[in-house]
Amino acid sequence: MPAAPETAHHTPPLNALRLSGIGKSFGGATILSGFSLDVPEGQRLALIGGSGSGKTTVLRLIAGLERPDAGDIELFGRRLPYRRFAGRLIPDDPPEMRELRRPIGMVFQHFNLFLHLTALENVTEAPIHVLGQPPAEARREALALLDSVGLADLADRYPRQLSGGQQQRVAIVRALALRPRVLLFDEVTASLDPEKVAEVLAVMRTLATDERVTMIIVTHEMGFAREVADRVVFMQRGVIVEDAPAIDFFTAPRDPRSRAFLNLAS
Amino acid sequence: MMFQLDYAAELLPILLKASLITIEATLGGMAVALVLGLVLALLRRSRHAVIHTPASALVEFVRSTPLLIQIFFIYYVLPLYGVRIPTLACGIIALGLHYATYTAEVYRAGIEAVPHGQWEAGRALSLPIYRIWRHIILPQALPPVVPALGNYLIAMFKETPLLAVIGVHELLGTALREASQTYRYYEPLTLVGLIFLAFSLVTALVLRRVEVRLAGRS
Ligand SMILES: Nc1ncnc2c1ncn2[C@@H]1O[C@H](COP(=O)(O)OP(=O)(O)O)[C@@H](O)[C@H]1O
Ligand SMILES: [Mg+2]
Repeated sequence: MPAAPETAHHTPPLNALRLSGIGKSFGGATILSGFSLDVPEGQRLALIGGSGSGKTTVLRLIAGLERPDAGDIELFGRRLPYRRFAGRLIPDDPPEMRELRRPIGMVFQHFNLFLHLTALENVTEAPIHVLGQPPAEARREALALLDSVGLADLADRYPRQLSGGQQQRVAIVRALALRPRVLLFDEVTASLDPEKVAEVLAVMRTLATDERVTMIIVTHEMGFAREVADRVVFMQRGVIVEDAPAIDFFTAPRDPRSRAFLNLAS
Repeated sequence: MMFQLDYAAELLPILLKASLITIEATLGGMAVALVLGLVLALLRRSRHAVIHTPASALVEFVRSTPLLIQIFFIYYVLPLYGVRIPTLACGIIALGLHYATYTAEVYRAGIEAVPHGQWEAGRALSLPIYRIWRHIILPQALPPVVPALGNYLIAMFKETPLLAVIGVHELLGTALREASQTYRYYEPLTLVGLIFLAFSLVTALVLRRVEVRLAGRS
């Protein structure tokens, strides 16, 4: 495991991500309002909360799958270029937006593998067509990545020929192939058969040892969150109820709502 | 009045030759309908009203007026604006434009049937939008709609006799011209019907094979 790079003590740690004053509503229902969150580079943040509390919305806003109605998003100190137009925020400079977001990878609850492509093709698509990697090199690296999650033999299978756990491991590898600096996981084990959960968590546990990658993990696996996360943010109805180091959160949650949630989840 | 085989035999080569024009008009019209229909389907999906409104208006307009009028319009009105197009090309444009409004709907259904997660995965990977369209969405949207597109191919084929009104010497027009000289309609019209039947059956057979191939692939 590579040691974390030494940061000079007078430079404040760079925020991988900074959400400030984010507002988001869907058809009149306000989901987030004045939502702010800073995530230092290299942090493993567990974002937890009951169903409908807005966790997925937060990840989708970061990944660019939803547009904020208000507020700013900064990635590695650079503000995403949204512009106010007719009362809404619209991307000001789509190519720059795409470029700034390129270091973000997302893994979904339902895998979302490209169904008409093999596992290998799923993984090489973005390296070839986003990074401009030569196909042979992209394939070599993709096979190495697939091998690292135990799937080298299944590289030529289509998603429907793979189990849920295998598909999710391919999806993680697909995100990794773009060499992301921030990885977003949205309940990636929630739609797996119980016996397949462990194989996906094992892959994520290995990833979590790489200090260069910032991880935001939305999960209901409290044991896993406790083991892997440095920090826990607990949300309810779009509001951060408790934001604490993981050890503190799990051993001595301050807010009664956190306690109630942990009691239910355990 | 008996069906005269020797008259039919005499007519057959003439009609088969004319059916080449029919096939040309069908294939040309279908090519236009396939390309223009896709363009219309994509334009109609645009978030910008300045793009999707005219596309939708064109679709509605073309669908609410008879093909026959569109054929006349393209043949007689466009030249007034200095657009000179050969007669067969007029027919191909009219057929293609008309059927493009139907293929556009077929494409739309195919595109909407692709799970939303495919878009999201493409965007989360920072793939450029055209790459997502061309290599992620369309390859999944098109194979399932090939049968529906094929049905329009056959439907269009059966409408080609309308082109006779602007003087395209396709199958029916040629048969009627022959008939007007001999005053015998039985043989020419029977042959025209049989030739249409034969082509429709062959086309349906080919389409079936394409469908099977596509189904086996995915
Ligand atoms: N696209 C959408 N359209 C309408 N409502 C949505 C949409 N996405 C999320 N919501 C609503 O926003 C709220 C928060 O959803 P979500 O972020 O998915 O919560 P969580 O992931 O914590 O379960 C829910 O009430 C949900 O119904
Ligand atoms: Mg969710």
